[in-house]
Amino acid sequence: MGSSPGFRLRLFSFLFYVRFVFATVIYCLFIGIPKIMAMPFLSSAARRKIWRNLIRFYGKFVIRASSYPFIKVEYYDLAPHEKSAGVVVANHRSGSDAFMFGMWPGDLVQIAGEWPFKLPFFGLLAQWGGYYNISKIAFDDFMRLASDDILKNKVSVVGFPEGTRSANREMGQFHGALFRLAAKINCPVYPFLILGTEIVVNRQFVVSPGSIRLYKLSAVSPEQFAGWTPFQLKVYVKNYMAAKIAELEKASNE
Amino acid sequence: MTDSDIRSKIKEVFVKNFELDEAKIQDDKLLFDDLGLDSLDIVDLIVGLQRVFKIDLRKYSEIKSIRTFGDVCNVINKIINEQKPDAVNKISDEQK
Repeated sequence: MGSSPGFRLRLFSFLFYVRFVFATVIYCLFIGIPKIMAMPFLSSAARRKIWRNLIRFYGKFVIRASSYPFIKVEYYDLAPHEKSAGVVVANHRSGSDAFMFGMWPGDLVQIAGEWPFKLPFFGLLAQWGGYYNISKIAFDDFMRLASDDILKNKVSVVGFPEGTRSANREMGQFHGALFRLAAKINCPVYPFLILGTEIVVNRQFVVSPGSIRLYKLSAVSPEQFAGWTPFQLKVYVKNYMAAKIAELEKASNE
Repeated sequence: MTDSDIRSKIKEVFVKNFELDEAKIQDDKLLFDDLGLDSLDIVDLIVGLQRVFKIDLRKYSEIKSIRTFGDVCNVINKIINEQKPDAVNKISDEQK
């Protein structure tokens, strides 16, 4: 008489989080602290860059260290020649999605709502990395600072335009801030698809074995959206992402 | 201007500014959940409505309660009807 599937799943989930915490401690001790010790000697811009890179590499590290070999995470760059900084927009199905930005090939800063900044440990990292709290920052300030990030600092601004996890696998309506930014400064809009996280990490944060696939799609370029309103750009990108998701999920089911 | 004219002009603003399908613009449609207009788009909408109806919507607190297309029509109707006595009085004063 074996243990029930429910018990095995809860045990798997528990062991995943044990590994997650262990990986976090290891990362902080051997990578985080040495980097932090150098910070007092650096400018605020350099410190911010270090925090951002620490966050990004932490995401990549903790995904691999916690999930291998039971959770497969595969990243596909469908436009490897497109490397310039821009706006990156991702679909949002799971609370674990933010960690997936760790796989993005380049420096990035995230825009988020209020709640990630309230998380213990992660909230502090987000603040120190200069992440944008869209609930608190004045929109004009966001546009000015984010424009500088992309154009001067070559840092991509990333976010989930749905604003919250979608209730099902269909994408919700998009908020327009990131598209207004792209339209204002004429930068590429990169769709970033995150598929499978809703199964691997469910809404109650119970973790199951499975497969996560990440896709960097070809950007919607400023030449393509020249003359469009931000609303038109938003709708176009949403439809583009939805069509690609449907195509990829159909291919994986066949 | 009749209520029907007002509604028609409001719909024109939606279609022109956001290229929405006119058939989808119905009274019960939520501005964000159904039509995809976020808070920043609402600002553009208000600018568009102000241009068409020659009114300053910022003075009216009712716009904060707008959630559906029907709400937009009701608020604009109310504002225009409230302004009518002022227009009538002005004409009467000019005739004196």
